[in-house]
Amino acid sequence: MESIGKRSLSFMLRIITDFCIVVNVAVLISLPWLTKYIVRILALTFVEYEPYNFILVFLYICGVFALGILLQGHLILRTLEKNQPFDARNSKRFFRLGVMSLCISCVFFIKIFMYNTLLTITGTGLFALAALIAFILSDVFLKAAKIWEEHELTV
Amino acid sequence: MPILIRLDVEMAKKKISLSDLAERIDLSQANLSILKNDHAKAIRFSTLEAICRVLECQPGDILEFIPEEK
Repeated sequence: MESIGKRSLSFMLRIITDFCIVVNVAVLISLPWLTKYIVRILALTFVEYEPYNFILVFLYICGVFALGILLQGHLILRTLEKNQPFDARNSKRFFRLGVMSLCISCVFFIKIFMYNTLLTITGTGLFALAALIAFILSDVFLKAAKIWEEHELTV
Repeated sequence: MPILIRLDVEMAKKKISLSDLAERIDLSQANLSILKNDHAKAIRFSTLEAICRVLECQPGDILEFIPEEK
């Protein structure tokens, strides 16, 4: 199976991304009730649980940035489907993706000082790494777009 | 851009149309149009050779350097 073009892996990944966007929006809308349910379950265990308000704000901020990441991913995958990977706009999209990942990493970092868990530390590192990778890809795609444009205008 | 393409002048001298020239040098009309309208960023030697052979001219007849004013 091809990785870019119609009926390719990027098409399948875009479908999955679109599904994740729908789920993300649904979760963001129902977050106050979902969070109450999660806090109630955590309170039943012997694990130290985080207060409702803090979890709600934390999840809302992360959820909004995650939605932004998914939307940028959707746009990038659409260009791959159209067999136009070296679109200069993809560079900006990767940059925005990196900024949003960095924001999530910062939120996780703040959480370390308030309600620290192993997952919080892991999340901080993973999202920071994702941000760095996205910034590098942004630069790579910008250079690739320039080379592609020169190639297209070479007679 | 300092390099100007004078392809239209040579085409007019030889009384050859864009589509004819494109066919004879085995280049698409779209690409030749890019060259003719000064939108090209680069030209391959093979393309330049083909154009000069068909139009019976020198590369200097098609390409002109105009320095940018400081």
